Amino acid sequence: MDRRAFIKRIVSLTAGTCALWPGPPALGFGADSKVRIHLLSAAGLSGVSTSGAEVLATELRYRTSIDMLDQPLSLRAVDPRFSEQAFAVLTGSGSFSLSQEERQALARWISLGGFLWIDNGGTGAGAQAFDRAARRELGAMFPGRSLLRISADHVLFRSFYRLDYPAGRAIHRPYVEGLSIGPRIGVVLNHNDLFGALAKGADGSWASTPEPGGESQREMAMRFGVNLTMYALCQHYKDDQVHLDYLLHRRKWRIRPSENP
Amino acid sequence: MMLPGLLGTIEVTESWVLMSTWSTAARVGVLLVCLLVLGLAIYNARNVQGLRRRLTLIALRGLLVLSLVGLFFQPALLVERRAHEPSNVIVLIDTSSSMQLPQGSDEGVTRREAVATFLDEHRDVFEELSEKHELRVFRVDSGLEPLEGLPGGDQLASLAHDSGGTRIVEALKRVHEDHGGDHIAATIILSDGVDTSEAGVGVPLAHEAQRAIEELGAPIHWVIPEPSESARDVSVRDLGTSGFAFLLNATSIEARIEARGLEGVTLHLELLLEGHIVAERTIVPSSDLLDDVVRFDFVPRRLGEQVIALRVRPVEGELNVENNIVQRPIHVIRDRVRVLQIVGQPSWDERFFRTHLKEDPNIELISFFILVNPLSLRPLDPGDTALIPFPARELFEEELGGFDLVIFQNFNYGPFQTRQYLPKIADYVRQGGAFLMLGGPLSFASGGYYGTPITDILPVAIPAGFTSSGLVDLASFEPRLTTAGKAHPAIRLDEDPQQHQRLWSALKPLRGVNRVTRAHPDAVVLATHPELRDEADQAMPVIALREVGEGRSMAVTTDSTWRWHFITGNEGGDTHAYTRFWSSAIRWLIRDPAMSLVQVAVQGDLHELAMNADPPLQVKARVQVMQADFQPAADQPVDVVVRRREPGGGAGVGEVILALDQERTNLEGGLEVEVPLSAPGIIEITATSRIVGGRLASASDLFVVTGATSEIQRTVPDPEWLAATTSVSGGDVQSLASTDPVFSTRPPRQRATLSRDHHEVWTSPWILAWIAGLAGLEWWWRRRWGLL
Repeated sequence: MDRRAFIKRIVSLTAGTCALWPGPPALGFGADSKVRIHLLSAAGLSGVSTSGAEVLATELRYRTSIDMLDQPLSLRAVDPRFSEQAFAVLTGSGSFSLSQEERQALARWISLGGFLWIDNGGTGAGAQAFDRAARRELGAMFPGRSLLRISADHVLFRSFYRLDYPAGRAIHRPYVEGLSIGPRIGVVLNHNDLFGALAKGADGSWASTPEPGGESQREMAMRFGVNLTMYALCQHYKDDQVHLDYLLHRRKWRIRPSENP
Repeated sequence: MMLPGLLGTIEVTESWVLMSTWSTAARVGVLLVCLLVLGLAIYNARNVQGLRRRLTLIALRGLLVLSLVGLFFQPALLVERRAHEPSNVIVLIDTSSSMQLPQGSDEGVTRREAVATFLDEHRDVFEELSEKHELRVFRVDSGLEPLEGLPGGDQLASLAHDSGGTRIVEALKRVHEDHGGDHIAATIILSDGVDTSEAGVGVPLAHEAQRAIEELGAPIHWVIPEPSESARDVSVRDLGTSGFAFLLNATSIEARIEARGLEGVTLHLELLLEGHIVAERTIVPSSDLLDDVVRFDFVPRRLGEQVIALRVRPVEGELNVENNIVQRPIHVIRDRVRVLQIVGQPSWDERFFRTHLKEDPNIELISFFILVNPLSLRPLDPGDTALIPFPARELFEEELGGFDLVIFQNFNYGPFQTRQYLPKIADYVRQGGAFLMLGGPLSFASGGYYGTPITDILPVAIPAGFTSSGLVDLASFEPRLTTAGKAHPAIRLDEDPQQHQRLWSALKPLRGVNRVTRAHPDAVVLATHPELRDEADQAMPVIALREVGEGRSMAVTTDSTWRWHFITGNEGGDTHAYTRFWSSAIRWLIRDPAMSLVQVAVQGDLHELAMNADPPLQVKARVQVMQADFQPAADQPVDVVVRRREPGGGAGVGEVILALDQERTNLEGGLEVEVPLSAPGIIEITATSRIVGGRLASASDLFVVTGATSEIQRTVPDPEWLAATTSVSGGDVQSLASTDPVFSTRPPRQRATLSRDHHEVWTSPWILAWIAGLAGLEWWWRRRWGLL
């Protein structure tokens, strides 16, 4: 890359990230065209807090170009409003269960392109019960398929931020598990209580201090939340970027001087 | 002595032979005795007075000894009578069409006339040959035909010289096969020295040529026009194509160029696709003889059957310019549809549209999403993110032409320094590209496109930006199909028009729409808003199409078509409508030939045929016309024009050889057209019909009719090739202008010895008398001189 091209790229990146004048006003299409975090409700689920989802939505709006609605909606899978979004979070503690109708609706929702993020917010026995319930329900919805460990090379860890591990309120496991639907991941199971790291108390202060990393771990949890949301919306887009140069120049659509001496 | 040719000739020869059968020792012994006798005779003569006497006695004794030795070896005269095989001299006279060309050194005399003159002037040479051999005369062109004797100049002139090829090597093979048992003493070829077959080129000789000459086993004498420095010709020998190429993909093609007498002359080579120059090169032959393969690269930019041609610009004084061009049919197909999708922000509309594009195996998708909030108050460290700069210059300045379709999906160009590239996108569409703009809060007027070059290519006009909230409408709505929308293939959900409309009416309502002020006058509006009106108080367009120059554009002014997939599916509905909608739209945008309402196909998938094919080919073309709903258009008026393009000519240009006005299709919407073939060239069949709202739809197909191309491709002989043939055969190359032609022949082959007679000399009584006479004479001289 020559000096001029380098400067142009720097200018372009700067413009893309820091431009103070965004051009014409982006007059939104209203709530229907925005992205909202749906919190999936299930019978028996405890410890559900919308605070972490609110914080994540706000940060997504600040950090990314996603047109987010700050207020999450808690909905059951059979609620007609549930399919207005293709992204949902199942978070909480302890055992829970879905009705047969909810399982069918959720399985259809995932099969059609929905992305379910299961965040284990429990500790101790509560966490174990949540984990067992999640695996049971997924097994019932997708018989024969199982959750598999997602490697740190997966696009989930670079869909926006470059990350090495799935941070949360705690680091119970240094990986997440996923259920594949064709070429994409339809369900992600996180064991580290990401929403717990983002939750705030009534006074606006953080509800907990992430262990063992403290505030930097909270930032990493935030970033992983951004990545998961970005994956729900952009899927494997970042994988394409790796091959961008090849893709851009694969088709020889014009004759370059060296090709026609 | 000569006998009739079929019996061959009889030769009588005489030679001296020795009949004695003495052993070598006996012969040596006798010779020694003779020498001793001679020595004694010389010794005894020393006392003889007078030199004359001494010499006389020695000579007489020597003659006597010599005669006795001769008697000892028994000499005889052998008289033999031998028979020889019939001996043929083959004379091949070139009667191909190239013999009509000037012979080179004298442009006023054709090669045929030069041969006729040669035959008349040197008839004695052939008559002399015919005394010893039988002359077998043939005319040779693309075939071999015997002639009755050697023709005179007038007779030669009466022979047709119209064959499209000269196959001399093939003729030599035929001669060998037909006269393999006969003796061939020589082959004389009166020609321009060009064999237009593959065997007629290349040094060392092609295997076929080498074998034919070796099997013939006789010297080959070429008699050709006088080599002239002024004989100059360049020809395109071949244009190698695989018959197909990929759209928008650089394609290599090789041409074989031959040039004679053009050393140091700049030759301009032009590669033409449908009559347009797509590549050019110049070459300068470094020797008098050029035979080179030249490679060209070109990029086909239109689908379908086309003609690729290589043309060399005529050089001053060139012998023949007809061989300066070769053209071949080439079928341009699409490998994969290359789509550039640029998205202003992640959304569900983007999410499902991208998935649709990615899942289509015929699409190669390159996406760019703006992921960062331009108003972000959270500064990002580039090292922490996987973000890349938006490569606007590379995309819109360097690689834009390589895409079949560019999609702006809810993308506002403003913050990304892309305004300067918007004219390039408009030019790209006018030059044949496709552009799709999808709605959203960052699109159309909300994206700030008012007054930009993009509005010049959109099917809809948009309100000025920077105004009020009137740029978008947030309400749900069910789009209404227009009359065109009920039939147009670009949004077809089902081939059955009734089912298509039923599926449309069952679609989930859309949410939110970008306001537009009106449809462009050239646009076709397919769906409108049920309530909103444009500035002309017409239903506001929601889906509209437009032909822009050579390209196409489409506007879908909402960002909620994803609901046709996700919401519909979650409610148990059929999600295929979404897939079909976008597949149809993309196929229309990229001009999928299958979407043409008029189609023309030459029957038999014919690409190339020879004008003089035997039996003559009957060529038919089938025109298929469909209504806008893609049902057969029965009894539909169709105009059909069949043209013969000039060499290197483009589409729609050339001599009209058939014109059918307002012909009616049959019940299946078909029309069969018999294509008249009168001359070589590119035959182009174009059918035109008015279908949707009087709009013209047309299609064409073509094929190549080849003529005497091989004969005109090479008109100047290759001296090296001729020399190679004579080197193998032992012949030579002579000039038609030669005043003293000489044709060497092979010795006749002996078939049998009829008789051998020995006339023995030693048994003759005269020999005894001679010996007795010598002895008596010596005795008489000795007595007279007193030596006895």
